[in-house]
Amino acid sequence: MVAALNRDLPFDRFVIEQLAGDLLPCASTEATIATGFHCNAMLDPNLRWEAVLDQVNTTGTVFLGLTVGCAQCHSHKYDPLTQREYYGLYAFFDSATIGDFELATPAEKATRDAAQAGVDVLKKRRTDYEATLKESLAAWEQGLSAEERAKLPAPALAVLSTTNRSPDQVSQLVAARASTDAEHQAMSRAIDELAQQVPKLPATLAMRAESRTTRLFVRGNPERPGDEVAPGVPAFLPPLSNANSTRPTRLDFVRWLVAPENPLVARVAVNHIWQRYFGLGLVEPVNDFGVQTPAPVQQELLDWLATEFIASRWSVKAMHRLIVCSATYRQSANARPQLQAIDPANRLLARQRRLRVEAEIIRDLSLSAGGLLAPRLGGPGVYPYQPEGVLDGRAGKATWTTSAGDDRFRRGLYTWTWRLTPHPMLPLFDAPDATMACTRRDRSNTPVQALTLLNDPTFVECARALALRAIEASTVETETGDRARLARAFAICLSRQPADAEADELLRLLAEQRAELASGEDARKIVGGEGPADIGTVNHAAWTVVCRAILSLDEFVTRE
Amino acid sequence: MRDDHNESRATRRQFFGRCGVGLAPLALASLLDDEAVGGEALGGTSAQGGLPAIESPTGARMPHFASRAKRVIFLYMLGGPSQLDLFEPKTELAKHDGEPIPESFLKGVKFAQIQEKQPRLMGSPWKFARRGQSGLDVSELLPHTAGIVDRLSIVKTFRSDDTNHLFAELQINTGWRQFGRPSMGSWVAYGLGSESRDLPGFTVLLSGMPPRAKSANYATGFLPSAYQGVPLRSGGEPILNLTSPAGFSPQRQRRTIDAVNALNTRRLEETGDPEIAARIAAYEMAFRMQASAPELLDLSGETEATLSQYGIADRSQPSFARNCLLARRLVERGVRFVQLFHGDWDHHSHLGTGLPNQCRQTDQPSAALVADLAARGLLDDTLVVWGGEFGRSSVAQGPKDANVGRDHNIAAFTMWLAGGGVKAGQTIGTTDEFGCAATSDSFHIHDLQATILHLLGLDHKRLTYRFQGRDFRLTDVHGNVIEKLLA
Repeated sequence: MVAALNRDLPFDRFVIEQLAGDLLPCASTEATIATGFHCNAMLDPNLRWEAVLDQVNTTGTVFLGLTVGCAQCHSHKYDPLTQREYYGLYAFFDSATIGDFELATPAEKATRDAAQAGVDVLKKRRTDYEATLKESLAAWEQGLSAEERAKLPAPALAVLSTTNRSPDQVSQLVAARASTDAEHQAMSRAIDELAQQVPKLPATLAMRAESRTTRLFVRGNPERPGDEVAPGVPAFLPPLSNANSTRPTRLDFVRWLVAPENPLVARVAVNHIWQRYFGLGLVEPVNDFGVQTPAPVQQELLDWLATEFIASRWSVKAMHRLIVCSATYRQSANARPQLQAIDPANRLLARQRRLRVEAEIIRDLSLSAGGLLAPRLGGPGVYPYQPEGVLDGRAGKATWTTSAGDDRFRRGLYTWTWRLTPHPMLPLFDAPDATMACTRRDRSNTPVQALTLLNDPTFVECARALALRAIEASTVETETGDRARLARAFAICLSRQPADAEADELLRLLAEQRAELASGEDARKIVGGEGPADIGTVNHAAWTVVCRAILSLDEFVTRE
Repeated sequence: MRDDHNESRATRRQFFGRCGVGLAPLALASLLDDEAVGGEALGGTSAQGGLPAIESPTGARMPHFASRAKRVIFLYMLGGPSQLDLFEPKTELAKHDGEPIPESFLKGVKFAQIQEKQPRLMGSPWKFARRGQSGLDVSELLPHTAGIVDRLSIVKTFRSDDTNHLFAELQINTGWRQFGRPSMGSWVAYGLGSESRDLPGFTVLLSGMPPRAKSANYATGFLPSAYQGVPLRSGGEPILNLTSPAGFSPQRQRRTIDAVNALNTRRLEETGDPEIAARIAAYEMAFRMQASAPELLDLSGETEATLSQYGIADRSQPSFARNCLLARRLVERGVRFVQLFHGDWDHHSHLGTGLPNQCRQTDQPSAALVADLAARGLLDDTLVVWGGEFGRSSVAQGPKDANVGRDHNIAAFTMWLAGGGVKAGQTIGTTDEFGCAATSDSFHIHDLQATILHLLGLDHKRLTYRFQGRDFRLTDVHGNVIEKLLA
């Protein structure tokens, strides 16, 4: 996904691959595994419909901006969407199976298949042997010594005394016999050994077409299937064109979704992008373009952005550029008394809005300020430092071994997510939990966040690194030199120069800390050992104190 | 240039000082000043959403009228405890055990999971007795609660609107069945501020299974960020990053925060963004918590008698019992609203083992908390609430074997309240012979919310906040104070 966004894959194509890449003619591996993101629900083989419902609801929320999930149990209370139409959408995703897609060359697969075939042969032999064990069960029973009987597992022992045995009970006896049979054990060992040699190929989730008859769930209850429903789209939207097939497929659906005639998708998409830059969508909330939501104040702007988006061949990067280069985006975020009375919610966009950045980005920014960020793209998830005790109390197994090398400093995007016990910094700074699609995050502002910015070892490490970058700005050990260093730190962190009062405040802090840290062990503790010889431990530590303050500023974690 | 700049800044400062949105230096000074925790009457609905210009977002404020309770401890039982096995003995239910429920009881009833057309009634396998002087019914599963019944009002007839845990949780905790509204604790912190300068006015303690709606149950919604519920973690350090890094003495930490706040204050003057005021307050609170929270969390000063009263076997291990003791320590330190979350009471199956297990974890500490508050003279003005998002069905879910359970019941479920102006030793509300629905005194959980606010001296209709052009309140457009609960 990162690669697709980076090369500015046109948004319509992106959506097609996300929802139905596997169905494209001559689907590439990339297109097929693109469907994996949409499969990333709570998967339970016994509750398959839950994942399908999630896919439908997510599609509705994210691409159509509609609360389609409301129509799961009954027709939508407000919007023109019947329950039957909901299951028409459901049918597209129902005719698919979520499974592992192997990322391997044909040669690798052939090697694996050959090895697996060997294992299967041995398994077949063992099964045949078990059949002979079963046939001669009576003789075996009679020949059992008291000692041998005592070694049998209790359930099997109980079966021995029954005469009218069920097939299950017979199987139990066969298993008991096999467990004491030397030849059977040898066969099992051989199978285990060979099985270990079968190479495990990397795999990822993907969708695969598999036709199913979809039935409506009466009152949304999967255990009460009702009428059969054919795949279809809501009547209030343009009709589906499926000239090529009698029964429309998921690919027909997604082509319909991103067709220029569809009035929603482009508007919903640009509204999402807008929200990221202005805090609120032009349509608010962004996940509901339904009739309950007030019409946007800036309707024409929304329409224009949507048509520009399509006209630019759905270039997401062009849309970002268009917005960030606009005069509206570049306005000051400062509150103005006269606006407060006229437009307190800033719907008219007479100013920008200050936005605290997202959880992952707070850490990315600090790493970047310290010059520590490893900007490498892609690859498996990484395990940065996290405090003790996060995985305590989990029922399922989960481990966390802090990554080695600069994998610790990858962007937050790559941090491994245990769905039930995410990295604690994520929920602390309002990252959503990973159970359902989230179209807007809250922004809380708590003392525990302040404690984390001040005290979390990751941020202290960033402050030390930023200190070294700042110190490099000057070789002059005078106040002039320190001012240049502070200016460097401000430029890195805040993209501006310090005001005189700010510089005075922080240089006073610096001077005090240099004096205080000159004696005692604290300087070494702060820099985690000795500072570089040419800088000196005390100087490094004093600058670390100052840089930690800068990294804790509201302005640093806020997009203004 | 510089003069112009200063002039415009001064104007802005006056502006923000006047209308109270920005908390410029004067207000900020009071925010950080010990003496400012004074109190100022709530002004009903003003243009600022029911509050006068807020000098300090978290300082204590006067209620609308004389309060009976100064603080609340809400023992939130996630998943829906089975009232029919805990507080509601039903002889008819036991008599007809195993029989299909008469159809007349199924009108309008929506089960969450049961599919059968006519599921079978199930009496409680546990024994009940009348307890205390007041003679209230409590089952053998709650021997310790039985010991404090004379202090309780047991309400048997609460009702809610959603059979889905997630939305039912949201409704009871935020008054609304979707995400985005402020939680009860946030409303209270907004209405009354906090009497604690050193700990968050709304503190959340988690044990067992986390709530389905996660932090939305204690979120601040559209209220200012300072009223957010601050959760203490259930594993590891209860408060993340409470310890300063190596080499940072309290003095050095203080000096750093002073510098941060000085620059943040400057930025606040420049931008007029109230979030900066909230962040300055958060850094101050963070520093105070570093000093106060270790003392709060250090249970070494608690006597063995107290620990065994609560049933705390190991004071270092997280548990509901430890959280109950922490709740007492929090309210002792002036925290306004403490909410414990503990689960899971969602016994669709294995009621026979699961319910006693939950009771073992919660009965003793819940009762100990009430008794301990009373012994310390705190119960008179501390309201304790016990209950979950709904109750459980009078019919069995699944075949009646060791795995049998009960489905949800949103039409009538039990909660108890104690202290803080609540009448002691009484039962309120009656249900039909099988405990399916109320036959008298049915109360919506909006009524519970209205009553909690009332006991705190807040009129739920006047505690409003203007957001996107509308005055919002905890009880939405509903809610009546439950007069029978009041002492």
